[in-house]
Amino acid sequence: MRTTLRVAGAAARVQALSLLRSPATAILVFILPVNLLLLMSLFALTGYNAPTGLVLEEDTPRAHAFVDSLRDAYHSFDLRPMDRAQADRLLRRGRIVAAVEIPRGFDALVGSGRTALVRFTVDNVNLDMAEDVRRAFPAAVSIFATRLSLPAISVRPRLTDMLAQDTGYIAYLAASSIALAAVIAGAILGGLVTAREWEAGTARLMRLAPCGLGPVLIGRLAAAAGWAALASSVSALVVVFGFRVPAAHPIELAGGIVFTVVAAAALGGLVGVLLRRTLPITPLILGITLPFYLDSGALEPQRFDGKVLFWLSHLSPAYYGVGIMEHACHGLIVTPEPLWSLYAVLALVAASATLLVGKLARR
Amino acid sequence: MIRVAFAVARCDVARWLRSPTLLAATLIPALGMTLMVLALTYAVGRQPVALVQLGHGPTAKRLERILRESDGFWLKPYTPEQAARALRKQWVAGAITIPADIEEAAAGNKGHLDALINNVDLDFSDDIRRSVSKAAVSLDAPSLAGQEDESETNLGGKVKSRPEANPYLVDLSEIDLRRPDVPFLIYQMVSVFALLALTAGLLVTALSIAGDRESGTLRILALAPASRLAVVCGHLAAGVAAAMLLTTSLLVPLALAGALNAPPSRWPAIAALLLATAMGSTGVGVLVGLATRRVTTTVLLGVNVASASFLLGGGFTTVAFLPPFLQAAARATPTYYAVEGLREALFYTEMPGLARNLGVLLAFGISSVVIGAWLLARPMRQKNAARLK
Repeated sequence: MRTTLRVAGAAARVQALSLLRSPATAILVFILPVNLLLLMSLFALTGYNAPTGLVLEEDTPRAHAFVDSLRDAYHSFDLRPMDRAQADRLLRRGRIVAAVEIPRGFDALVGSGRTALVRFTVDNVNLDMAEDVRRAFPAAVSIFATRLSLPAISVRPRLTDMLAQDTGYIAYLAASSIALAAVIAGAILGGLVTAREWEAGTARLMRLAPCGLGPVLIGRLAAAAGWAALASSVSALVVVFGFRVPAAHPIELAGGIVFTVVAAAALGGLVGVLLRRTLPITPLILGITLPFYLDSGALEPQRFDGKVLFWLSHLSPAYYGVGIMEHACHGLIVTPEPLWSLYAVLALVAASATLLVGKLARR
Repeated sequence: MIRVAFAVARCDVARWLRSPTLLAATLIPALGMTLMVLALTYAVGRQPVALVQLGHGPTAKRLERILRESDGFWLKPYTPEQAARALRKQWVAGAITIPADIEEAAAGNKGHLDALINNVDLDFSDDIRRSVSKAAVSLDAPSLAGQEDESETNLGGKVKSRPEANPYLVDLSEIDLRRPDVPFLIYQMVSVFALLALTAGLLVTALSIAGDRESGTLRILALAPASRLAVVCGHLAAGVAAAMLLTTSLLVPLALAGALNAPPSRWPAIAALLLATAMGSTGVGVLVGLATRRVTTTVLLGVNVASASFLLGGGFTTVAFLPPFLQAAARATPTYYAVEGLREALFYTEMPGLARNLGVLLAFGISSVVIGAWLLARPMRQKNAARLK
């Protein structure tokens, strides 16, 4: 056992030195998660506050009250004042999602108890955004009616939140991106360092060594995991300081990174042992991880997407990582499983994948 | 020159088609991102919501029907206890309650439609808030919430001239730019074409150049009586061929199945855009291949560049809706021009950016050929200079 540990330690040291001396791969593994983190946040940036042209044909209190209602309609509109011609031009070029035109005489009509007609033009090319603004318009009207205390409304919505405060879409997605960073960095490096043993032909030589190939691979995986943990920590720092996402539980955040990275590195190592070639490792891991990342509760608690996708998500370490990160950053519980079980599953995955790597290496 | 370029291109394409590893390295990232687009399409759809119906009078029934017809959520009927448990266990994102006294309360204009929302994330909780508000508004003002018969609506550019009276004192005249709506998946598929062209063009070229360098073929080619420009053009042609093969194999079946409804006059523009996208992406691949020494590094850099170009260039987003500095950054990627051009061609009546989009994509390809030829010739020049010294 002591010899095994000594060999694993030596292999880890050599691998760490190798990563430092030929840093191209290591640096690119640092960049990839940050790259994905920054770029995924672009999706969240356009997920709400749809750019909307506001054509205000009169400057009156009730018209402004209606504009305020639109503005307060659940992060739906990013209102940009403009004239009708500009709104039409921008709509036809796909530069805004919708245009709201509050007509002349709006204040007088509403004041006298008559109904005013508001023109609402929608570019329904992106259905997700078009539906958001279509639903938001009646919501804004409902807010307007409540503020004006209009009497003849039979049923009003009464909305209650379960949590004391909302979590922004970008903040939510950024926290889950730390798990994506940990999985990608860990799995790619884990896969590359193991597959390289076969590609370089050293695996054959290692088999002749008294302790076999297993401890060497485990040592290499440990170094890969260490490097990947560093890479993921950079992503976490970008999230905390760049995106200003508070780390509600910093120790949990660090623990989550370590557990996710170790599990991902072990799984990556397994892929490396099976493929024994470095070329397909990165594309394969990226190709598998990205869809699984979106199916891991990255955008919302995963159970909301139905049973099939919910159970499927459990196949990826990203699911457990996202569960931990959302709690670590925002204090949110986004998985039905308790938090400790997420750590336990990651530890179990890491242990069993490492054992399998050792076993397959002997074949 | 053409003979050399053709030979290099043929060799690259044959190597790509015959090597399962190379094929996998090229196709899997594109496949992964395509699956990501599909997952995204599913994730941004409806949310599961519990419906607790305590009232059973005519108003309650109308509300229940309106809620069921809403495309904002999947309704599941529950008792209050079941709804509370489902919320706790995250089977539902919210619970809507139609109170037992809704008839009397609505008659006295004091009715409420209660919704308890799991506001763990603003995106879907806002979706539920909007949908519940819309349902409540529909009760008194069906035309305001788009609940009227289709014959009475003003889709397709007709403007409603007179408002229908309602207690909210505001009516809506909605004009949609197109009829019917573009399905979200089809909208997102456009960026998949750009993605396929990008990953195939970029990775095939980058891997073939890096492979040549790693195996020493590039040095042998340097001694051959072939111009560097011809060698780079050959690699570029191979990448373009691979990219076009992949994009057309997806585009043609979708077009034949009627999923892509472009006017016949637009197809030449779409084909030109795809070809230019393939050239632009392949050009980036030439630079990636020349910038790296080992194939493993090439894949990593290629994947980094492809994902950055795809995501920043509007793969999942509409660049025009991003902050100005991000729009400026997006313009540095070939995907931006590809996605914008394809969306214009497929969904819009005007194509004001066609010439610019085609021009920039071709410029990406041509400039990378020139830079690539210069980079290839550089080691030779350096050796000659060293010999002269």
